[in-house]
Amino acid sequence: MIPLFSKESLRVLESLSFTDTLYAFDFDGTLAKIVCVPTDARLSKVTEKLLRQLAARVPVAIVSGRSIQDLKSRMEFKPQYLVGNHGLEGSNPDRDSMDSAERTCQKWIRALSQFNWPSGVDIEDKRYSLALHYRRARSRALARRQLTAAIDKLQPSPRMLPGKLVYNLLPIGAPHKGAAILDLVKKSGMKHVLYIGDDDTDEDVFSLPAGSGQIVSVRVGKKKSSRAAYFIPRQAEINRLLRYLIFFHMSPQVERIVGARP
Amino acid sequence: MRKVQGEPPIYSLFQIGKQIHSMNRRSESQLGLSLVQWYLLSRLVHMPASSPLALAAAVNVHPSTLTQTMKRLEKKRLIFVSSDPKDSRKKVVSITRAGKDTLDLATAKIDEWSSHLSLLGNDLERLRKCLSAQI
Repeated sequence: MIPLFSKESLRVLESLSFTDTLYAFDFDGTLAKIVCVPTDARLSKVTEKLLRQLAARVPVAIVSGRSIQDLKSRMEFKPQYLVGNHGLEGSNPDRDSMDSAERTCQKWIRALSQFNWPSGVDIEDKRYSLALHYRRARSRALARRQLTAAIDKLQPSPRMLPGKLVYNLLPIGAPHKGAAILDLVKKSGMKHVLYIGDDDTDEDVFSLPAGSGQIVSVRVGKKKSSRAAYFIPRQAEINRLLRYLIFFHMSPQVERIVGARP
Repeated sequence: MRKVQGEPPIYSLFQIGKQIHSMNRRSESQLGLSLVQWYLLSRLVHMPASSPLALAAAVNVHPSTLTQTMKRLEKKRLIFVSSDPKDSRKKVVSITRAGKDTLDLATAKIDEWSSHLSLLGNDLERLRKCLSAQI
């Protein structure tokens, strides 16, 4: 994992702009900063403006753990591709597996509602997946212990994706972000993908093997065990990255007039 | 290409070779890029951050054959080689902005020069198949 904002890495980033590339972003912790209450998360005005500028030039996708309906309510900007519920919604929806995921989540909710949770634990029903947040818990260690014990008892067993002070529960066999990205590549007709994410749920994309097309992965925050190729130090740097991408896609004439890089 | 009745096919092949050689010289003097270098750039532009091995497979040459061409392109600053961020023992190669600009100019010119080649169409394909079968 190497810094994206180094001279060498930026040249690799620039080379992506010479070919058919899809630009895909995670939402929480990547485009929007992590907030104490997940329902407060929104795109900043600057980020939204920059995303609009980028989307006017190239295909842009947002791939999130949130439901599509929830995502839409958090921004006025509408990207070309919107994928929700870690890949279950919006990529290649198969009605049967979605219905089955919905039924499974309802079972889990019923089972989880029987527990006496400490205050600050929030169970978010995202229809096709669940998110168990413990960011606001007074004792996070206790909340973590109780949550993992409860998750162990769930039937059918879920696929658990730990996030930032959250456990995401998905039905086993449900598509993940990696599968969603491969599907988007096919759908968009692009050859390459630049994917930016911040979480363990994004490792499904970071660990995709380089096949016929190249997936250039960027993680928000450096993490030794991550499979991402590059990193930006913090979420606040996302606008800088977007500015670079827009700059690389400006016509050469404009570039000569504008001169300096972002 | 002149075609004389009853000429052995190898004569035609020789004529093609001569024309490619002359086109290559023209390309080098006018564009600063040999046809092989142009071909490599035109494949690399769609393969950002590729391993030299993958690039060699894409242009259908042995990796060792590619090394010299890559070195020349790197010297001209049309491509750059960097460490693979996922494995520092490996290298990846990408095209530079100057490489992309040169490629665009060269492609327009080479398209102009080779516009008549489309007339050969099937003949060229047959020749290619015949040569691959021989080699």
